[in-house]
Amino acid sequence: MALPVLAATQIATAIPDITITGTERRGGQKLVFPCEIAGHPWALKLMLAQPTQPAGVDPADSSVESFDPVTARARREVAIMYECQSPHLVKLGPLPLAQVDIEGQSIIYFTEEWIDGQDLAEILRVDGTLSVEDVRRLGLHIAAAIEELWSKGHIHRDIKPGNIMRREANGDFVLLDMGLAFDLQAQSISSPGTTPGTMIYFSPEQANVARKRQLDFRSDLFALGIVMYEALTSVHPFIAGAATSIEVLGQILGATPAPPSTHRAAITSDFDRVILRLLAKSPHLRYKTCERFRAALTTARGGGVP
Amino acid sequence: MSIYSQHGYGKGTKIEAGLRDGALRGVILSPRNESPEKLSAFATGLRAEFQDGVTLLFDPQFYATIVPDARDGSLADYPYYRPGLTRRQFISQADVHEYAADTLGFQSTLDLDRWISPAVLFDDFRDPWSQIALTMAQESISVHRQTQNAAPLLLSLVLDENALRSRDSLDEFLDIITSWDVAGFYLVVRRNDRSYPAAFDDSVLLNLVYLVYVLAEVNEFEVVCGYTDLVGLLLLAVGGKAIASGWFNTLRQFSLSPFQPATGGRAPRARYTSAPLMSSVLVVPELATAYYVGRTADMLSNTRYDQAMANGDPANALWPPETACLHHWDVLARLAEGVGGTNVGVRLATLESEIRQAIARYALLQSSGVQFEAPTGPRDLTLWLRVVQAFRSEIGA
Repeated sequence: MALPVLAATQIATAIPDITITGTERRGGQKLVFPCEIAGHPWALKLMLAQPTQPAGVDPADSSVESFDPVTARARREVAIMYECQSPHLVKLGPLPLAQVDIEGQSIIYFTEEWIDGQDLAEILRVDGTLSVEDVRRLGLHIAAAIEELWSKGHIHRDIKPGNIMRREANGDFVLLDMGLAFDLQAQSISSPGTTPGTMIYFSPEQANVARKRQLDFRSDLFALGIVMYEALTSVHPFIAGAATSIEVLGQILGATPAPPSTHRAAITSDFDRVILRLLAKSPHLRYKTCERFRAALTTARGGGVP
Repeated sequence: MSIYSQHGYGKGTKIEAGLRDGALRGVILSPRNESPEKLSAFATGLRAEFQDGVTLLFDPQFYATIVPDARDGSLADYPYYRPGLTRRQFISQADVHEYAADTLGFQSTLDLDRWISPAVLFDDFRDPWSQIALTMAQESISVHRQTQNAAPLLLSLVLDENALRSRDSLDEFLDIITSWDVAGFYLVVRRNDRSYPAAFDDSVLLNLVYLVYVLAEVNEFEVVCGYTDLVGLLLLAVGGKAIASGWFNTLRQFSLSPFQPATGGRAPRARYTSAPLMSSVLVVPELATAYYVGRTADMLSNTRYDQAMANGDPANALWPPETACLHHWDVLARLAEGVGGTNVGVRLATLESEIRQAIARYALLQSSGVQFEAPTGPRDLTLWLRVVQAFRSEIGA
């Protein structure tokens, strides 16, 4: 998937309501610019539309509608942001999904809440780990986001440190990027035989394409378990002996992770138990509801570890 | 950890007596064996006498609808029952919804503590009947959600023991059913061995234990195991809330034979449930032989009912079926209490210890000249021991 090639000045010309206020951040398929609309900060997300014709159809045949997975994902992301209210899910901004042509590129864009803070990947890169109490907050907040998504029939499918922000103002964690979220009732956007997401945060069942439509929120809980493990220990639970993403996936499918306390002795057995339960191979061995996970995490002894 | 009565034909006053004893905590009512009016009056009478001290459930026995020419007894008088259904009648979701609505609707007319969903029996977690069972469960959840003042719902799972041979397909099935928002499950496993007690295959029993553990202990569902006898102690140890047993062997292990055309048979031989042996032995010759070699005490359970066995030759003791049944429930309740404990690890360790002691008693009796038939010998105990050890190792308990 290609990124659009755009300068701030081109965007300002094409979308006059917006004032670009900083440099872009590059995601897998998106450019994200900080911007202002009517004096308030927002994030502007831009994607390159990539319409494709169904196989075997003459591209000149205007009777056959082309399908653009990028637009479809953006539409879904916007719809999910619109319907979800959790403070731990990023909110939609004032500009709804729109399309504009810039220098021959068909650009899809929308705005979302600008979160003043750092993403968890950056925090872990700089600090190595979070405090146990911050990991507890992380688990509680992202579980609330997963719960809200699931209550609307969605699964995020791409929970990873890069998709989690910590707000500067109050330390709350917020889940971003619903672009890969899966709607149980909707038609599949991803190509047959593929499973979107970031492989080293896949749940075992997510790696099984045949079970794609059987996924539920417990798959997101697995990914959250990996993120919490990393935040506690600075180590990915399935990285041992693996050199590539495929090898990590192999470990996710077959290896039993060491308790987090193996890497950080002060972690209590309560925390070990909660995290390892999130990382169980079968969804039925994880938590039955996000509420039960949050209850277990809330009561897990932190052991006075800062 | 409770023992329920599995109601069936010829209840007499056994159920009330078992409840008064404190051995029973609940009853699973059988529509096949009572008319709707009598069953309703019976339930009302139990509630009046025992109030909150009895848990009343009603097994709709919907699985009998797919038995050709079923001997369905009074079931035919129940408004939700449809005799002679085939797979064709389960294709439409609307039809399945109607079966669920009618079955739960009938239960709303009784003063029950839990409602049990209708179910069909399936042989394999991946066969078409399993899919029908899942649809029926989902439709039951849907009906239940829309019903005001409904009792908590137990989803009925009625499966052949062969379904439990494959852990992979069980895992997939569990992934589905553990995501459902219900109070719990009513589990019935069809046994293929017609002898009593029916022999289990190691992997089947291990997977049954795993099934109950995942539902009850890990996912905190209420799990009631119907038609379960002494082997139910393993299921209680891994979190099962209750096991149900009755006076006939067919109420202690499930098969469809009572619903199928009769093939004749003979009255079962008298049995005595021995707490020290964790087994139901034959009064003659097994208990009687122990008497002759002076080892009756190693087999006696010492309930309020077994004085007759302690006081002389068991072969001549007065041991009517009603007494044997009340004694059986009493022993089950006592053994269940014995494997109580705060967590599954403690309960399994206690159970393992109890099983080892029972095996040792068997060895002592055998060395004294008491011979046991294969089903009533230590065969099941050694199997349970292997299964408990394997399961403890699997879950690290």
